[in-house]
Amino acid sequence: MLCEACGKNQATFFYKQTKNGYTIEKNLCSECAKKQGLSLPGNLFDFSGFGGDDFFGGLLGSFVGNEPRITASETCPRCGMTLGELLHGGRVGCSECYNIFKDSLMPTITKIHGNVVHCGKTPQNRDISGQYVHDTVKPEDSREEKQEKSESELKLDKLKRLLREAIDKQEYEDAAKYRDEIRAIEKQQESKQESEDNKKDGGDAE
Amino acid sequence: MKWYCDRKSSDGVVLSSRVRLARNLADFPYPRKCSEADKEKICETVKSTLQKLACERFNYINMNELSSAERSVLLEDHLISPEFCEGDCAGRMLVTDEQSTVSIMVNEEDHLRIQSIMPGLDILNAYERASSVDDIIAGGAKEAFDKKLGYLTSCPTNLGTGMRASVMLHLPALTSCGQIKALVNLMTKIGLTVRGLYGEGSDADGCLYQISNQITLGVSERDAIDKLTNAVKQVVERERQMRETLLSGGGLDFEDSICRSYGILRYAKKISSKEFLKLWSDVKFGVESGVIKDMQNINLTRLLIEVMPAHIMQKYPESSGPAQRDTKRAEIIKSYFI
Ligand SMILES: [Zn+2]
Ligand SMILES: [Zn+2]
Repeated sequence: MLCEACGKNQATFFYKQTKNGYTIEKNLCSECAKKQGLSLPGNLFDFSGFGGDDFFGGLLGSFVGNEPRITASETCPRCGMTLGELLHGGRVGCSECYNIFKDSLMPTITKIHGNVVHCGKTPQNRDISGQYVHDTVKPEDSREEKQEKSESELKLDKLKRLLREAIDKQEYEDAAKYRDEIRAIEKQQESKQESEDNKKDGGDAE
Repeated sequence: MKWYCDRKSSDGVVLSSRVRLARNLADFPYPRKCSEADKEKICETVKSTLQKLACERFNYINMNELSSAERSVLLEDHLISPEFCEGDCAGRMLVTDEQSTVSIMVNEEDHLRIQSIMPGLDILNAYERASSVDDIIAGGAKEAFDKKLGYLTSCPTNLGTGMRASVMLHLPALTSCGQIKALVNLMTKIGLTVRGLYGEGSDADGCLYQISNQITLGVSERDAIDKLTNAVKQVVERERQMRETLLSGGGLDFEDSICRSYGILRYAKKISSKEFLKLWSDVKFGVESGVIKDMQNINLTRLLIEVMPAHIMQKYPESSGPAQRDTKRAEIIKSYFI
């Protein structure tokens, strides 16, 4: 299958956006995926180290199982950045953009860095070892998440590896199947995470 | 002293350690979305804060006032990024300290990119230096920060600590034994990035590579630095092992090839950039493995930087063409052997 955008290269990335019930599917080559902000800058795609690794497995998910809510009219009132521009360039225009485009950005941020919160130096606290002197979040929270891999996470890793292999072999029907399974599991995890977050926020109120 | 003038940068496998902190001021949109007037204000804020709160003196260089040759010298010194000297440089300011241990790119992709380079493997020291300047800035201006996302940056890949730490290594043995691809895969798996410093594609000219951290959110500076330091130490160890293997297994052929490179580097009348990098790599390997014995006192890292095109043009403004530079390059190399 050829890339829809340039019509020249093999499509290696499937991208799907769902909004108000209608779906846009894109089949792109890595170059065009990059251009459209569906990937990260750097040479990440050239590496063959996908496998079961958390970080790179996660990356794969950022353009396969992801469903950003696209609203063309969304614009940051402070810097004038539009969502289209953001997805295209992969850069925000100001600090406020992180609030305005939260729904679109957060899944990607989670896919890049993992489901974690900042740890380390803050403008008020110079401690670089991640000791939470001022913060309400305790370090154990993020540590535990990292260490214990639940059954569903292991399954997710395996599915992502299979997906990667299917894409490599251009077995797109299999790939679509794996992609849907991944999406279902991630959705489950997200709703679980959300309810945990709500609990946490409530407990930490100052 | 510039990092490459320090002998420590020429002592072994690791040439330098660099830390870059991305910071933005809370009161302004990021450089690609802010007005020229805002950029001026940001430069002013940085300047007045440093002048008011820092004990040391800094130099403030308006990038627009530099010639393209002068910008290229800064680039070859690794003091600025390619993006910082591309296109229209209006509103971009470079801040450096007297010792050239720390610099700030103002209005690059983020308002501030605070950077420190130290010779050898010394990431923590580079971090402390950059972080101390960050503390001064934070004392005079409000930095964009979110409790969960950390330091807010133009690119979401830098969120969190905003810290990119990288180490420059010379890996001739791993390169010649075809181990680089395996190294890249291994480092990728633990969240580190490897790339060639010069040249394109997988064959890094001069066998020079850069290893850096990839993840910035949810990992403290300390943990990221420890992880990178440990990984680099292991790479250095592997490189040393591979060198021993080459030395003992390669025998006379191996020594012969190194000595031939040494002969050309020392006596040639003109040398191109690309050829130089290859010869330089062989000779550095030869010196460190004891095959070449009369070059122990030469700072090869300094030589590496000082024969780059912009540095040659700065020293000999008349040598504007590549052919003239190749001749000058050979002359500069010769001056190192006197
Ligand atoms: Zn394409
Ligand atoms: Zn904005």
